[in-house]
Amino acid sequence: MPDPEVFSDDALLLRFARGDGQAAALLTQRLAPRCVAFATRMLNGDRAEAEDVTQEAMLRLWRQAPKWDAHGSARPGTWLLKVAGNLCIDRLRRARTLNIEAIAAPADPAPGALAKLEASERLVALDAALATLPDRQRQAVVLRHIEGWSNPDIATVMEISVEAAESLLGRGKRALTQALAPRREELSDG
Amino acid sequence: MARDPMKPRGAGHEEDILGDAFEAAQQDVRPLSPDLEARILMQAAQAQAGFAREREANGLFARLQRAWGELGGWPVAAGLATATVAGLWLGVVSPPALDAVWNGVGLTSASLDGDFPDYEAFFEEI
Repeated sequence: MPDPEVFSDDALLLRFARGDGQAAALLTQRLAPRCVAFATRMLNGDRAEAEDVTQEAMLRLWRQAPKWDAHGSARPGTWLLKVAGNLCIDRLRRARTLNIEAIAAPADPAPGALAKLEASERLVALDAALATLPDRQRQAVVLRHIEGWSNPDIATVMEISVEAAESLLGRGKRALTQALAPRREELSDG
Repeated sequence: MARDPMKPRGAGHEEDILGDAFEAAQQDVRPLSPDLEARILMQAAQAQAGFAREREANGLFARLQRAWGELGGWPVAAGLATATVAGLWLGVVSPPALDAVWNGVGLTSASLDGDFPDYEAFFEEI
């Protein structure tokens, strides 16, 4: 079994392409949980749908493996979230087209429902606020502030200029701040 | 990101709340469900089986290509085809100029008859 400390994601993907089954297990453990978390946020909290997206994105990664350019700019984790983001946006658009009523409403961030500030409550509030953002803004904000990507990386993955990415992020963050403002008392540290 | 208790709650307070929420979200990565992991790994195994078949097919093609090259490749095949066509043409058309060649070596169509074994006796015995 390849030593996870020694092998980068790129190296594991190349080993996978050459037939190493353990490499697939390691890559899945490394990349898939974060992909599910990302897709869940993109899909307004729908974890089941996020798991389907992750499975599809991982399948595309496996198929890409023999052609993978280890010296290219994309890393497997970055590539995976790019694919997952696009799949999420496709699904959200399709859902809106099919039945606008079927989209899960964001959790009600009603003031008073949360008596005390806890990490889980912050998460609920954040996810509810994220769900109010347009898809692309949400994608940029999650990649920047939760996944920790740089603005140029976000611009590359979203196929926009760095300035456009910064603009999306600025608007997204302002919208989130406004969405959380009514709850500042209950969400504050006390 | 813990809030600075000395910091007055003003314009930056929402920023603090947002920063805390982002930090909580960064930690919010749950382990994969066994079912999802199994589905992903099953697809990985199927993809790998496809690569192996592809490699095998590519290997056979490479071997055939190498053998073809060792035999001389297309130039040899073209020469062989030309010689075949020329031979066929000589056989069918039998140009008169060739008679002089055959006569020179003592061969004519009539003289060839006697040079081949006669199987008539053999067939009669049967």
